[in-house]
Amino acid sequence: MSSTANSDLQAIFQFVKDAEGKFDHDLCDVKESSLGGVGVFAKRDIPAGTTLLQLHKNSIFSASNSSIANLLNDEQIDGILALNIAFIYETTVFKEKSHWYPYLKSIRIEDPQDNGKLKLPPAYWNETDKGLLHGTTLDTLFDALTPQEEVERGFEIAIDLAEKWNEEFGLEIPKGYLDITDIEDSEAIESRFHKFIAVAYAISARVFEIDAFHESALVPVADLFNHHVVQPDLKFISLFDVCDLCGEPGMCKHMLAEEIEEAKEVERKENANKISKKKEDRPVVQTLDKAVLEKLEADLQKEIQEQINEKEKELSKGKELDPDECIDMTTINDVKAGNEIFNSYGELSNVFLLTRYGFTIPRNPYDVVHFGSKLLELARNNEDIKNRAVWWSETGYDKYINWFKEQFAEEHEHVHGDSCDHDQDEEDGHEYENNNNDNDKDNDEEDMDEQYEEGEDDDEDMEEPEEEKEEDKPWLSELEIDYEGEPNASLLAACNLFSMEPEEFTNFSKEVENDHGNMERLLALDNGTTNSFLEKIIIESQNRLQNTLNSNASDGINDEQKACTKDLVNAELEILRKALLPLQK
Amino acid sequence: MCAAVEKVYCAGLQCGKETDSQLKCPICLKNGITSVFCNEDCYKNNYKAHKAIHFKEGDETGEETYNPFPKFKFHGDLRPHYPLTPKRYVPEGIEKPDWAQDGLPVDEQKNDRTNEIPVYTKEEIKKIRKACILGREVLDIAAAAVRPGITTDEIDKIVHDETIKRNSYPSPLNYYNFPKSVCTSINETICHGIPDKTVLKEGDIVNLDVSLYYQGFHADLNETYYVVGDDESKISKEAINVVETARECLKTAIKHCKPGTTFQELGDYIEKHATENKCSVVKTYCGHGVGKYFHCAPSVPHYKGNRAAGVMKPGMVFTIEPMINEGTWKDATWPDDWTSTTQDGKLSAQFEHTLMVTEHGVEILSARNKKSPGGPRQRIK
Repeated sequence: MSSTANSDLQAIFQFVKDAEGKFDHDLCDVKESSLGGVGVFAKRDIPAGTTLLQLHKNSIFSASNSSIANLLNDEQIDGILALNIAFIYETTVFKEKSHWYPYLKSIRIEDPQDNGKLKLPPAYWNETDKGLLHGTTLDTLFDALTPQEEVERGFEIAIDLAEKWNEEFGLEIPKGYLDITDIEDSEAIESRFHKFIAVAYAISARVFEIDAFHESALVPVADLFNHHVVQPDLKFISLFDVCDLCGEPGMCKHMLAEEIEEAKEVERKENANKISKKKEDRPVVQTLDKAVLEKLEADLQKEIQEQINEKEKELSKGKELDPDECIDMTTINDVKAGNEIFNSYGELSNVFLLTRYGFTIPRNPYDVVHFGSKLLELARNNEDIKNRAVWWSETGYDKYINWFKEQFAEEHEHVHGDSCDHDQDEEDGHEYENNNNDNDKDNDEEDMDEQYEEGEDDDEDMEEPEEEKEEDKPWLSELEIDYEGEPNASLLAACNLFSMEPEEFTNFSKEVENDHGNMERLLALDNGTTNSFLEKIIIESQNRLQNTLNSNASDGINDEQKACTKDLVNAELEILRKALLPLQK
Repeated sequence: MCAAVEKVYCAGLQCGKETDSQLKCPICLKNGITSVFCNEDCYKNNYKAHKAIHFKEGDETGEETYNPFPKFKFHGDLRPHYPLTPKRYVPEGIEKPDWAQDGLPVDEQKNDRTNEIPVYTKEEIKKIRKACILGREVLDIAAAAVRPGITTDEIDKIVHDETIKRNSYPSPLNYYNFPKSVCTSINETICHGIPDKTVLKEGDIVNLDVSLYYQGFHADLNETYYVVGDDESKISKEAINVVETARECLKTAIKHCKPGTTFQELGDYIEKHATENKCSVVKTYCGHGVGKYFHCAPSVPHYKGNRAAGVMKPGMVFTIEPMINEGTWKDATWPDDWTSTTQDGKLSAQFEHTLMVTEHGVEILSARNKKSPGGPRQRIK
């Protein structure tokens, strides 16, 4: 959801025009959307296959295009961190001197309607406001209420660089962002940290994956299109496979140089062989045939004439943009006049949308309710369940999954191995994957961390802490009820396993260890005890979410964010309601 | 004693290999020139560039000039005057860049990174400074020869001879197969004019763009000169305005160079001054990093609102070389693939320095000295 102020739109359009980009104002109208903020609407009926926006890649804001591109390159900083730092320098140090400023100043990290309050992701809300999301998947599965170390490290790297550049050659330190050297006041430091986070959040909400050279970038106008969860009208096209040294598509000078060097090497070897030949073997006198000369001359005249014609055409028509050097936004559906034109940011749950983009949408089919922490809690309080969980985690689960995959081979491609309901829309989604790139495709929980990886080679620092983390334990992270209220295979298995009579469990576990366990037993939901086990954990989760729903917000977040938290909790409650129906029949 | 056998190199600009082939261009032979090619393929591949040295048909003296592109609609009055003189000889002992042989600057292509702007060590800077001093000497000597009646090819000879006299290689020679040792750009020519038999006449303006390679480093500088004879009034006020504006544009841009200045902002200062003087700024050609490579990062556009990447740091070496036009900023290229002229045929002028960013400002490595020919003139109202 774009929160671009209407007054900034003209500056953005001018930026695009100055950059010789094409945005079809005859077809598109940018105005307030019912979703909040602005959106892009069809002025007339637009057929599928219409390019609404075309921008040369030199007019998208990537770290590689930024004023400090060479400094970031020298420090080997890339990825989102590079983009964040570049954004901060462009908007606080270079400002009007930067030709990116007319566009970048429209990206505001503060809420203009709310006293300039920073818009932060949930991990940086105060404890009261975090309470609005307690027990949701955002909290329990994605751990998105806990600040990530990488973000803080990114902030520290940015500060170190700012100080280094300042010392080395006097480059101004971004005021209010990275100037903490002489500041003792911890509140002032925190306010800078939060600004840094807010920049990261604003960027993460708009960033597009571009190519091997630019990596990710902010794309003017492209970021005005809102997200549609199932039926986007647009695809974002950018040739990903370019030279990572210069960004050129196809044969660039780097490839050319390489090819020439290879050819020279081959020739050198051939010559080494030739030298051993006797001189007499070579032809002594050669002459050029008159006919050869005449043909050469005729060909050359033809070539020159063609070149002249080509140039005259160019002069009269002007140069066309090379699509390989551009990003395009092109319709994939017919769009009726008056309708909003939607992009897709990917198949994303509301948790992901809120964490990365700062909004939620009603009836999001990618929403799930997750039971990992619920079952972990049960295991902590019950020795018997704990033993079963340990056995399941160490022995049973892998065997079960293997059996499951064999059993349901056709569904194997659904990596989740669950009952998730992939419909037609996904197929459409994959069509433009080769052009890559709507923002993200997989909502794997890891993605949330990935978006913050910075360029340094920091594998050693990134080692996971020893402590048990849910994402390390697939049996825990996959315990879900999907949007339709269906428990997935992992959850069914866990419920069956934990509700068995002790003797039954002992027998069953032995059978499994000897590879003749009746795995089908774990998928059943007609067993009274399993049924009531599931019912019990659903009801407990409902109660917990109900408490969360009833808790109050502080004034740390704005109304829009409050509404998002309610949407998120309500969506999970709705899923639980659907899940309960068959159980209580 | 036996006679020393002189080495023979293939006359194909894209080849240039040592050869013992006997295949000689029959047309050159008639003109009294020996051009040896490795084989027929080499001849064919290099034919377009090679035939530029062929005399006008029927002429055996080489005195008669001709326009090799009679069907091209030239944008102004200037025409090429062929034949070109054959490729000039660079002595064996002079260190040459890789393109000297076959025209391809492979080393430069391979190592240039869009966002990696070289920062030079003190030792390297000493050498670049020396190259620039030599470059200035060569430019000044060539400029002193500018007068009505001289051909640009004669200027090329001066530049070439003075360059090799200084144990340097003339960088333009065979760079992407550029046929000569200096660029001479007359009147509506924006840049990359090829020295030929064109005679400079009173009232012309001509830019001499000198680059040389000395002990592993390049210098790059140019100036535009008035072609003045006995009658000073032959220089139009338009010519003076465009030349002086270009000179001032470069000066203005240099004033802003210091650590922390972005490369993109230079275009704003240049275009502002150009516009104030009713001139326009060429967009197609940019300043560039220079030193270890003839052309490398950064790219330094001269027009306002450009989005060039990069910020200045001490030890960076680059050129600023605004091309300022009397009329439209738009350019067009001749069928020789080099000469760039204004689309409206109106005048274009250019000045260039090689600059080095220092701790607190910038050093003009290719600076003029008191004896340097040329220099500013009063505008005429």
